[in-house]
Amino acid sequence: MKTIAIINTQSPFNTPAGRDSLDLALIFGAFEQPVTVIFLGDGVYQLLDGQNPEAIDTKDYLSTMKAFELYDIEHIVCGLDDMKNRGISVNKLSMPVEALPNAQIGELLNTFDHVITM
Amino acid sequence: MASFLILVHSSNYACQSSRSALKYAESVVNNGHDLKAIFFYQEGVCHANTLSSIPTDELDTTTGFKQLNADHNIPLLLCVTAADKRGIIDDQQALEQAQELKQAHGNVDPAFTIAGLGEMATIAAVTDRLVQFK
Repeated sequence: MKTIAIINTQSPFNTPAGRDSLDLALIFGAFEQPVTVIFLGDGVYQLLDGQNPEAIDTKDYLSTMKAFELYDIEHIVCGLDDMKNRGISVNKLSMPVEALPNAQIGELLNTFDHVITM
Repeated sequence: MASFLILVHSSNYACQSSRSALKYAESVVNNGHDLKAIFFYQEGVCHANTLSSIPTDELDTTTGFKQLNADHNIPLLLCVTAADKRGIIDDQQALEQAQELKQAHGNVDPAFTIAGLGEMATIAAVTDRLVQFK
């Protein structure tokens, strides 16, 4: 067994990175590896509630993030500084997320066996 | 000795990270470590496209990865969903889709094995180090 951190760094719809990252998280969850999903930089935009991707003819993969629970992925973390810099408060997010100061996330990353950045 | 899994996210052409991945992979093997697999994801699946031709005076990383496969049996795993989206299919898929695509052969280099994220995750679960090249 390996502990896995998956870091999202990109905004949700400009590239498929967020979708591919979600696939990765769910696969590791399905194989019962403990997964923590982390949102940093523009990646925090993936967490915003009330987005309407259909309006730009884009598949809504964000709603699939609700499946995290089913795959026992319960630890969702975002960068508090990245949120503040973008004017996003925690109550605007689509799911319960632990907002940690970015400096602490550096320490957190040292605790995982594998870190995958998307 | 440590075990390694390498993830390649970038295409075979116009990306330095593809070359870095190859050099890193060669070093892992040459230093006696256990390279369990190289997994090609996102644009990385372009490495398997037999229809891409790189000028002979430029580094063709696919040839390098194939050499690792031939000399050291390193599995080159191709993410099937990422490959399908980018028009990289093997002969069997091509036959299945021949009616639709009017194409009788695929373009996946036979050195590559069609795989999925599941295979990658299974290997990661028993591997010491996972290294990405983007």
